Amino acid sequence: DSHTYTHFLVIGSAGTGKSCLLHQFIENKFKQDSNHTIGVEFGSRVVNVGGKTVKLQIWDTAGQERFRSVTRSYYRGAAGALLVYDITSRETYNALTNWLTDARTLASPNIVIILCGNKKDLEADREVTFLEASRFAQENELIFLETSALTGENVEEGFLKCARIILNKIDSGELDPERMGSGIQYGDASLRQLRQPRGTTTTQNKQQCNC
Amino acid sequence: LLTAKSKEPEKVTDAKVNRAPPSPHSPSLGLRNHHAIQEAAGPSHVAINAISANMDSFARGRTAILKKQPSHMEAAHFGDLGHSSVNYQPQEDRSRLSKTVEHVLRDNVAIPHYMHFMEHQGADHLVRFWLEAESFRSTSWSRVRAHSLNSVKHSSLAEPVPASPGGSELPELAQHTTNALTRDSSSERLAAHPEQRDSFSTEAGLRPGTPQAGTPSRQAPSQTGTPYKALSNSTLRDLSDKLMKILEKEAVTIFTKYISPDAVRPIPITEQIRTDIVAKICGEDGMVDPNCFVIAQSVVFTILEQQHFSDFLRSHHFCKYQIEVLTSGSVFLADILFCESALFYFSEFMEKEEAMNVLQFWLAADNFQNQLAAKKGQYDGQEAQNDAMILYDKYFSLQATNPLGFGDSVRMEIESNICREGGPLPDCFTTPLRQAWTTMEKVYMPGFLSSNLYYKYLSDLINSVRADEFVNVSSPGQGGPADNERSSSNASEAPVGLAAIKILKNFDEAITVDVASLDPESLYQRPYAGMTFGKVNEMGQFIREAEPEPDVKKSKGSMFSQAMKKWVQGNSDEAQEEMAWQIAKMIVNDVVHQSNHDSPGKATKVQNLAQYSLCCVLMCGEWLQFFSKCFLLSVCSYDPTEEPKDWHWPSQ
Repeated sequence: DSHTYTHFLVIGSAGTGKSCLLHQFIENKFKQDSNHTIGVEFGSRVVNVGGKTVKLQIWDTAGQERFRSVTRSYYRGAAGALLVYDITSRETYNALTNWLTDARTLASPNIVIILCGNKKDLEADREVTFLEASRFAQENELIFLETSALTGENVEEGFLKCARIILNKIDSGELDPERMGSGIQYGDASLRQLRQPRGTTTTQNKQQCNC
Repeated sequence: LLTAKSKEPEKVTDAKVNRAPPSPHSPSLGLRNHHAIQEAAGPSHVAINAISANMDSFARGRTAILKKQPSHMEAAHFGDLGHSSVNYQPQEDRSRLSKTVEHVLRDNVAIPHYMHFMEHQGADHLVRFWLEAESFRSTSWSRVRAHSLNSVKHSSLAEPVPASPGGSELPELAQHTTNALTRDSSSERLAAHPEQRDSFSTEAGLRPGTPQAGTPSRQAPSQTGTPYKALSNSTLRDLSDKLMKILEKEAVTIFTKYISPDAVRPIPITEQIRTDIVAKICGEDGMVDPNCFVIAQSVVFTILEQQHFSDFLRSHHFCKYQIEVLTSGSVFLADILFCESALFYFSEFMEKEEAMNVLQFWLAADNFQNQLAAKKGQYDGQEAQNDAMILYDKYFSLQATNPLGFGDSVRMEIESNICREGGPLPDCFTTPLRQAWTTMEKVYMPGFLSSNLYYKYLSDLINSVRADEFVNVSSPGQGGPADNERSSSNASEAPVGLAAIKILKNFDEAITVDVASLDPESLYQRPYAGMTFGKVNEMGQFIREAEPEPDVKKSKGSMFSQAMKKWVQGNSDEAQEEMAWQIAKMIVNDVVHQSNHDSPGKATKVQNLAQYSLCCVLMCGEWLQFFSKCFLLSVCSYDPTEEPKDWHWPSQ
């Protein structure tokens, strides 16, 4: 077991396809039953990003307003989030500001957020243009993709892009994976064992210097 | 009585800190009876009684058959459910790792860490004010209640009930007694945090016409009023005056320290609030309102919550507190399930144990019940039923997509709860929730606490503390290098990197010293060996290796004595004279050669060589003088240092 674990959220209004996106990403097929999520549900998948093996632990949250207060408690500690709206529903697009505020306030300030305009396959019913959402994403420093949980288009790209950005932040030092609340944990125990002896050596060297 | 009353505040404080679950009178008695039975009976009886107790409280109205069958199946399936079932009250459980401002301010373990954090933020006076004002308010109300009880006693003693005016006196006495009992109940209820509002209401009730005080987190305007009737007895009046003076003194202390415009660090409140506080402390009737600081407390509470608490939750001080809880040796399932960061690790663990369904169900059902309970009965029954049916279809149905293995009796109970007229109640899934909880607590929690994931959880907390402290400790001058170091490696490696840099620096210096230490050796290296000044070859001639001292030559004798020696010896020594000259020439060449050979060396070497040569010359002078005397004594006719001049003399 030598994975890096990354904690993900999927948030957005009810009926935008959050659970279907998760199901498509994990099972590689469309989720047939249309039950809405009660509270929170988990999913996970191991992916390879830039040569590194990463396990994405994804928490799918209920979009109904009545579950909002209970799902907020799962925001803290997430490293990445998929913010989902339905391109055929202007209402779900208009609610993005509230979801974004919640994510930025309750989760880590460094959380990487990808805006997903889902149901791309329903072009005839489109109510939100690509350009409009793209400008919203730029103004709010989000990555933007239009996806289709039905056809699978851009679904994997969304998660992988988010994971890649998180790994880049780790490499650049902007994100500390060993700090509590980063939403990341290393699964390689041997790496940790390897690091401790070096610490011991440091202590010895310091003592020698004093002598 | 005074002794008993003096202990009361401590008891209340301890109870607050412990935050024991609320226990209304009758259920408490019931629980006590059950505990007594448990002590006497065997395990099976304990389990049955525990289950029965839960059934009575959670499944009222069930038939006897339903009561009996779940007992049997649960006992067989989960073994002895012990105390966990009796004490299971999920809606009251909270994780000690997940805090709100109110929780922190009432937790003696968390307050030191929070205080340290606020000191760093330069806002610790806000916390101190809130704590001192809260202590004043609680203490004041305790004293007022104690005084009221004393008033009742004094009234009884001072005015015995006469027979003729009994009609008017007796109702008043009965009323006092009733109030005393009410206050006792109020005191007991202070033990439970969820009952805070009730106790506040009761306290406010002591002053008719006064609005609710509420918790400090709520705006609660209060008015000055007489808390109790003033009796005509002079002794009671004296006690009242003493009490008011004590309260006033303490209130003025807090005012001077935090609220006065002249305070060293006043809290940020408006002049209106300050004036209101003054009016409450120095009332016209000399009364001090125990709730005089409540408005200021609510202002400070809001500041603490909105401006500082998020940063505290992300600080290493909070991580220290969490480490303290997690290493206390008593970590409970509630600490994990109600804390999202701990839940992250626990869910990973449950996935490895292939028991994610149990955790998934518990979370979903718990969320369903919480959001339903939050509506306090004002919810759409049909909508709630639809939500419940989703969970039923997923976990309980005969065609469930994620069956958990609940028995038929549990499934029938759930079906009955869901199809209730008017929609399901917020306790719809309590039975399976309790079973899932017990399973996680008994089967999986011990493994988690000794798992690698738990160790990583602690390591991450420790690394967060170390990283923050490292940043805080480093001086501003070293800020840049430290940041660069942290950016290139993990936080835990930063100290290593910094230490490595120091080691390398020291090593460079050591190398310099080593290079310097090499110089002395080269100073002692010479083309010729040893410290001798000359040697005698196989022909018996002395070959000098050092230059003779000129002064010694002049002291040999005058020109006349030299001429006399010449004539006495005769020409047979010419060969020897020539050889002597050659020897002298060789010596001169040797010295010149040494000088040329050493000049290309380093400046340091040359300098040292010069000093060394000076020492050699001085020693050679002494030896040469000594040796010359010996030579003259042994060989009077031979004096090579003077022969060259004699050689030139005949030509003149």
